[in-house]
Amino acid sequence: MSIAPVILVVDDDPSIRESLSSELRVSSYTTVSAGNGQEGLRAFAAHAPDLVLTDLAMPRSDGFELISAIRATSRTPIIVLSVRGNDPDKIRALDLGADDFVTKPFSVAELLARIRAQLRRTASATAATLSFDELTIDLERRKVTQGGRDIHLTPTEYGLLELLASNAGKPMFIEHIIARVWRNAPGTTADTVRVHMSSLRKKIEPDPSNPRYIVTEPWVGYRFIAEPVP
Amino acid sequence: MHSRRALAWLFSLAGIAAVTIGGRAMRLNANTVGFAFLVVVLLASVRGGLLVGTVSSIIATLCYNYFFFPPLGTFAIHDPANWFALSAFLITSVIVNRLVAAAHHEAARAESEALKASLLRAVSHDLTTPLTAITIQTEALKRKATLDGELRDAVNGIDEETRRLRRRIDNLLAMARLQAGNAKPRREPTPPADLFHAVREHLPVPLTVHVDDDCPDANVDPALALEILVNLIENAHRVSPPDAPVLLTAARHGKDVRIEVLDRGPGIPPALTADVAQRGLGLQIARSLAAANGGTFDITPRPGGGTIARVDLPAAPLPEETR
Repeated sequence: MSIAPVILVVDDDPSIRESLSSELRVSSYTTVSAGNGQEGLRAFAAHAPDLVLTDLAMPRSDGFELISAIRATSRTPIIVLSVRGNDPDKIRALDLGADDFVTKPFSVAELLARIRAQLRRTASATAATLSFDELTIDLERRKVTQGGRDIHLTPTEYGLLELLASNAGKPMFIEHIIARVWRNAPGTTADTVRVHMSSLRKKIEPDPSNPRYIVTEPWVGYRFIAEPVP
Repeated sequence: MHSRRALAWLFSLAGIAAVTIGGRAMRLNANTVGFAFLVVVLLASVRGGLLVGTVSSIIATLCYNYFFFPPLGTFAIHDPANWFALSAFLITSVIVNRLVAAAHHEAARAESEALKASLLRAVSHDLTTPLTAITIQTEALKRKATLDGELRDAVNGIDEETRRLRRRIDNLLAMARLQAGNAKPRREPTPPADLFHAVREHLPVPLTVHVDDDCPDANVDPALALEILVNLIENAHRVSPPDAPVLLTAARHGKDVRIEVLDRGPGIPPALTADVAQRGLGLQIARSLAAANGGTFDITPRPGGGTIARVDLPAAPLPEETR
């Protein structure tokens, strides 16, 4: 990317907004900021950012309204800054179309990894091959290699891997996985997904005690780890 | 509160008197009067609570009998049908009373739970916001290459203490949430390796991790399980010598998943192993959270020196494993 990606930071707390923006600029992003959902939406229209970071609880117009409003017109990645323990809010935000979240207080390194994952996902939307560390997925030939070795997957396992990897960094709801991979076949349950996911993970993870590629996402489903948090 | 109850008494007695006098004056039939009494009792109960309501029911029943069931002017009743009517009246008014009281109680409980939940949310937000700003700014300071040795140590100190503060807050909020009762543990099948992955994201300390190949998923609330492990590992890390990182393992144990945190620290004097409470907040929290997840927690000496903190959590085997 030759031009610095623009990130819109929406938070009602000025010290978070400013320190975060300043850290993002150090990492060569251009930033725009807003103090509530309404301002955020105006800034979104005016600056067409490449990614949005938004708090959820804000006076007047909150993060949920902002997410819905942005999703009505655009697929720009949205990362939510959520508060620890408030999982229902986090899940609602994902349901409305947010792509990922970090939990306050987060480390900047963690946030930067999440941002890179989202920007990379939108940039590689039309790629023919996906690769992460040692894992390569050839989407045209439906071939998977890990550390140079061919991995033999069942069609269901391949479907799961393709869906998750092409949405790397994004928590995927079980319902969505069942709809996409099983086409909502009757009798498909979360347990069906668990069984196939477990065998897929055994095949692709170099060290099953230390998952590198796929982890469960509490109360949501699964997430493909685009980039391990440093 | 007192004046409100006194008003309810006054209302109830005045209401019963009014129905009695009005009923007699207008020569209303006994059924109409009965319903009018019931309305008074119901309102008295709503305004004054169970005691006012119950006493009102009894007084109303007596007045009803004395003034409206023949022979009038006595508490005697000749017609068996009237016995039935009077009993039905008494039973109805008592039941109405109890229902009103139960609804009151439930409303008060819901109100106090909602208050606790919104307080927790506010505290959580108000503590987390400055902590987030501090975390970001500390990282900015750490990045500055110009920091000399003394300043760098100070910044690292701030960083470390901020993390500690963050974890104490997480702990307290997790406990408060459980006690507020508005966040029942939300259990779901969770692979131990994923819990360990989350631990490493939260707690950047050296760890050796091992999950047995045949270890089933644990049926736990993932956030609470993470809280338990972060506490135990933080404790273990603090006492570990630098060359012996904390070991974290998961294995099948009967119908449970057994997770162990092993350290090579000085160990716990035998007298203290029985009383986990004496080992600080972290272990107490681990025990409460394990229990909330349907599991158990205990702590034993590790052969060769050190301590094993052990959490047994219910397993959630894959469907094909349950056959």
